[in-house]
Amino acid sequence: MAVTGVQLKAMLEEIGVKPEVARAVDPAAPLLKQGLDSVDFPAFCALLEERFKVSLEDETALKLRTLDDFAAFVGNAGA
Amino acid sequence: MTRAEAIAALRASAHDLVPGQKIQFDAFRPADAPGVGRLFLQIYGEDYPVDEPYVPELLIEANRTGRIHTIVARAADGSVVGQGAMYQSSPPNRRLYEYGQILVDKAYRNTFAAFRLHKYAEQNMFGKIPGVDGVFGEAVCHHLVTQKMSRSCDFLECGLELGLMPAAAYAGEGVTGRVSCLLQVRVDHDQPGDLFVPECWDGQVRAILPAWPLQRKVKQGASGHVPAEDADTDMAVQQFGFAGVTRCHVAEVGANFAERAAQEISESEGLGHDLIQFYLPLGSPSCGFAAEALRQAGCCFGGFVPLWFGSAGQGPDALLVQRFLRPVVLAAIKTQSEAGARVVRLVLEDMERAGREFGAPVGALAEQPEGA
Repeated sequence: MAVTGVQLKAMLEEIGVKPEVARAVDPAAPLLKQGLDSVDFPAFCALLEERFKVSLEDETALKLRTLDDFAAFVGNAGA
Repeated sequence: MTRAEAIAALRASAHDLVPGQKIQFDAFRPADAPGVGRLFLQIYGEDYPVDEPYVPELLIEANRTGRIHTIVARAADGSVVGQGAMYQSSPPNRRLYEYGQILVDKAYRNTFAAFRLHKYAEQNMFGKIPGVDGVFGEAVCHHLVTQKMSRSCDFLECGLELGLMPAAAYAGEGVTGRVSCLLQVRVDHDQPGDLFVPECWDGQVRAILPAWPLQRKVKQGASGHVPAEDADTDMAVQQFGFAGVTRCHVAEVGANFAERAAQEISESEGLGHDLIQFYLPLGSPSCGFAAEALRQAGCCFGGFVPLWFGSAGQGPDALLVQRFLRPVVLAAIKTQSEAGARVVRLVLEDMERAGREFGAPVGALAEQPEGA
């Protein structure tokens, strides 16, 4: 299952990240260094699970740092 | 079993949890009670001011009767690694519950357990439990996590409890000064009623009121509406010694209200408390009389709290009025939403006014370290 950076940025907005912050996210840089906090991060993981029907264990989620990491995880989960 | 016996039993069986187990989020079962007690003991020691969490049969009974709705994060071996709750607390309206007490065991802090407990509450408790008309939270303002989680499930800002908690309650979090809390209320089942808005805080109440679609007949709560000479004031007083706070619930405003309020302020000063709060009945035509008496005693606006009295009062809602009893330092007040920031401005401006007009003690915001 392929997922684009645009889709993931739109999901950041869905969980309440300010649009200007979400749009400016560098997909290759850690999310927690780009304005996301300890509420946004698990909220994003939960939405990802729901949207793409994947199971994301906390231990795995904590290893995913960038939007590119999340895109790769969703891609592999659907492989 | 007494509280002391329960705590002794918890200490005798104290153990570290096996980390890294799969967690299930669920409603409370009686078998979870000792695990909840263990969690409270780990986090608060013996000092949590309520008995239920420590005494299994009390917690089981409170969950059975619906006074508390506990949710748990349960590990594969049955251990309780986290908990949250919706519970009856200060409001005279027993259908307005408080939400909070989200605790996670130290071995599971590096997980999303707290967030997932909150999601469980959002999906299974809010708006879904019979006998609950509304839920409120007191979101600390020295960080944004609680405010953010609450707002995402329709808890709306309606007041600011200035300097509610001492810094010592947040040891290890680098807090300087007393911590203020935003009052946030979610209304699921409204109760129509009258609203006598006091002249002196008319602007503040009307600024907050439209947040919910409440069915209210709004009238002016004139300060000149003096209660009958023989009408006595009915005021229930709660003392929170650990927090240095006195909370007064005014069910009836009598002709002697100013004297009763002055007496409570004086007694609270004598106890060494920092803050006194009054919840006034907005459904009473004499609310304006009481509000004016408190304004002249140096009190300031605190909030408009829907459903606080429910059917236990003359009308459903309360006006929160507050006053410091001595000058205090306040921890930085952070807000997540524009509505929250507006409430904070309303309250701080009125606190400053009370200081200027009546010489009332005020809270001075602590200087924030750079980058905070």
